[in-house]
Amino acid sequence: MSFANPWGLMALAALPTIAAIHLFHRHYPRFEVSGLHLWGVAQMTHTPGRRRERLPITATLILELLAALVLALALARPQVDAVNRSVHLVVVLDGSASMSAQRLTSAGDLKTFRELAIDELDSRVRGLPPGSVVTLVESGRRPALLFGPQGHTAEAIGSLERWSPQSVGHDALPAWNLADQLAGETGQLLYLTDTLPDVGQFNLPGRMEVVSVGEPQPNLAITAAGWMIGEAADSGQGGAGRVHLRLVNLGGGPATATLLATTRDGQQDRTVLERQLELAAGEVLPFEAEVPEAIGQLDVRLTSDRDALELDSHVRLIEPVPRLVRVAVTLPQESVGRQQVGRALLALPGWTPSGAADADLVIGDASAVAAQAESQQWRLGIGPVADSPAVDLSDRSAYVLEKRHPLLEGVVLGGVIWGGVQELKFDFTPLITSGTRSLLVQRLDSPATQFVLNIDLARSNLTDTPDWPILLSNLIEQCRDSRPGLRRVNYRVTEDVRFRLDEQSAEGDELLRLEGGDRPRQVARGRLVEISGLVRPAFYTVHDDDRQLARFAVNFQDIDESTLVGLVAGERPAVVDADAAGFEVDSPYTWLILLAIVMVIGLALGDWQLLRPGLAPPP
Amino acid sequence: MRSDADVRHAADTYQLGLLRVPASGRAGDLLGRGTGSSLEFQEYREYTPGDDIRHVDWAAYARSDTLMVRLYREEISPRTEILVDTSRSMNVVAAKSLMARQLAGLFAMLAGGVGGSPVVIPLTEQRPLERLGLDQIERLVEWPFVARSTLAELMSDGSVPLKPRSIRIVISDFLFPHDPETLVKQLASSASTLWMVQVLGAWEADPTVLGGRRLVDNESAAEADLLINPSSIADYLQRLQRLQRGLATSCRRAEASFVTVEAESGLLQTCRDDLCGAGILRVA
Repeated sequence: MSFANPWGLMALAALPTIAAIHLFHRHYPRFEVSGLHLWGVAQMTHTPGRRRERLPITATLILELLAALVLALALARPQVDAVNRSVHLVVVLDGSASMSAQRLTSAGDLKTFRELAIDELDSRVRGLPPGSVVTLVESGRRPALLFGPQGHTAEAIGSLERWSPQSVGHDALPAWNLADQLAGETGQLLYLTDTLPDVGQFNLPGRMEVVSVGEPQPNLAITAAGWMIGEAADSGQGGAGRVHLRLVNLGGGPATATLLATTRDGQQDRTVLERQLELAAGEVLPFEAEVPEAIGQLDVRLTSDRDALELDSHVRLIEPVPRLVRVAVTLPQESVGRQQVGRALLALPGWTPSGAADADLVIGDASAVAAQAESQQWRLGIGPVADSPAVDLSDRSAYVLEKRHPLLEGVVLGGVIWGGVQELKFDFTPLITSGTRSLLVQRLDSPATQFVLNIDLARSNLTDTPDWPILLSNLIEQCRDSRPGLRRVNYRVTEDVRFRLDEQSAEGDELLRLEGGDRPRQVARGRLVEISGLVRPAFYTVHDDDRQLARFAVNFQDIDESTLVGLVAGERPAVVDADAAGFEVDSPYTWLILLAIVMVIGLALGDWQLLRPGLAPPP
Repeated sequence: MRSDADVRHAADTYQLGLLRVPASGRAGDLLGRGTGSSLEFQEYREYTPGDDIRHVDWAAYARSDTLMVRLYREEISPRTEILVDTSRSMNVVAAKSLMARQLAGLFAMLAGGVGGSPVVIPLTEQRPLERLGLDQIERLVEWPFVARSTLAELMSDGSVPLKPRSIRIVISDFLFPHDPETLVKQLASSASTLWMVQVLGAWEADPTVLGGRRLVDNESAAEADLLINPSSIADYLQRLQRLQRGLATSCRRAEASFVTVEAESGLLQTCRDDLCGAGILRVA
């Protein structure tokens, strides 16, 4: 006999407790008598201290003990003949998106690999001996416990009703390790997947049996998706946008597919785009189409009878909002610097001219930068810095660049003659130096973000090199990133989403609310909001109370998971059998508990025998 | 107690079961055990100095030349002391205290009826003990049975003033720890007659199974938990019978009478069955 819940035997501790209560805390009805000594109990009167008395065996005591015994056994759930036969089956379910693919190659009802895995699990669970328990673990970027640990077999299959494998490619090893820990020394391990893992390549536990329900399947996928606003819109004048898609036929034969893009128009869907496409086997088709402006969002689906996985054939896109940087140039008219700055800005997108007061970025004289500092404005001051001696550097000068600074990304300064270098008399962080001379610095004596280009453009060829527009472009992009709002609105799963809040929204300790995907979650509030670990394709919105702060889309794009032609069905038995002793629930403790309780009861009975009248001292 | 119909009826029906020759007492209606001054001739004996010279039978002296003295039976009125145990144990059930009151009243009325001077002495903590004459026995009706001192304790410390050569009737349950022989000796000492009437409640005389009970001694307030089952009842009865045997044996040795009556039986049945059976009463 074994016990499914041996801790229920702790209730047997109630037996000596009941006996003790009857021994020490009897509350009999009071009954007045004339001669207590005639009852032979005169020695039991309330004298200081307590004499040991023999436990009175009453019907009440017997019934209470029987009730406690029955209750303890009911809690412990004894199972006759179940010892050494019960099994703790720990199953790792492959949570990758390919498990959601349909088996198109089979006859009859189309089933997904997920359903086939559940069928396999169902048959395994039905074959388990009575008293067995099941634990279900889903693999993923983070392994998750789907059922259990050690749940009833009858409830295991029902718990998978809402299981939806959608993970991108991941390492299953953490899930295997978790299952190995949960199984203990006697549990059985089973990995249900859609392809057999390479034992030599992966550190598969030796006692884990692998069952693959996968089969090679054709599949069409959208492996990249983007929405670019038009040039006119980019300059703030409005205009149509363009949607870029990369369509891939991952099957072994040609496929005919329909690409349908719709958008929400009130309560109905409106078709924006519909195309018939022919994709040869293995073909990668870049697709680009113009879409009307101000439609907000797009729902793009690629459908085909050769498409086994729907998840990767569907993308959601949000129309980007142009985030123009307002730029003011305050350099003197007719100066070389103004001409060169203006020439470079003409070639750069994503900015708009503005007055100095409203500008996000002000480009002016280096000598005027500190005086006009505004905490929210970015400034670039261009030399000469002051009336002081200046030196020129040759094109063979060694420039040292702070490469980690995003302002210098792509800047190389090859062959640049840097003229008009002067001594700087303020605190700064050097970004470009040559020897002891600082050529481009970020000022530290102002709360605003201010850069100073220690140069006389009239004596330099920097503006004639590609580094000049790159430097200004980086400056504009950095300035844009510092403004509130999302850099991008369309992401892929597991990609980190970052955006800035304005000062007003960033204040406060309350958490922001992220809605979308499986369930809402909370996000830390701050100047820079970071959201990571988004694994479900969906539209997401970030809210501060009732105010929507941001909206973005997350799409499943993982070509490895979309490639279903390599799936293989099969079974791989465990290399090492589970402990032949079988599964025993908390066995080390069960018998210790029983032993302890039997000892307590034995001692109580022994004590009772020792105190029987024949052995008791004379009164 | 004269208002009690049972007591009146019993007093009309019975008389004390005294000998015709009580041991001593004032000159009265009953013949004493010794020689006295009554007209009833008893016997002769030789004259000894101190004898009443009036009782010398001169005729016999003439015949036998020996001074012989006529002895006459003594006529006495018996002094009767009725000791009533008024401890709490006598009130454990109302029937016990009622029976004790009725018996005390009956004995007093019967003793008074033959010219004696009965005295009822309730045994209490009061010092000296109160003595109720025949004209005060009505006070027994309201007498509180709340004393905690037992008869044995009172006798040991000499708190009970007993008159010598009196008829002594003791009414108690005797359910207190004591040595029967010692107690009886103390009570019988200098008494012309000693009757001991043990009044028990019906349950005390014949306990029934009650299960677990916290027994509380209503005199000592001592408590004890006990299962009142056949086994413990048998032990109790064994101890009770040992006590009763001890009292009876001691009473026989002291030429006293001991009788146990059951309170719930009622006075008339007790007089008829128990007291008459023991010779304490007889039909008038």
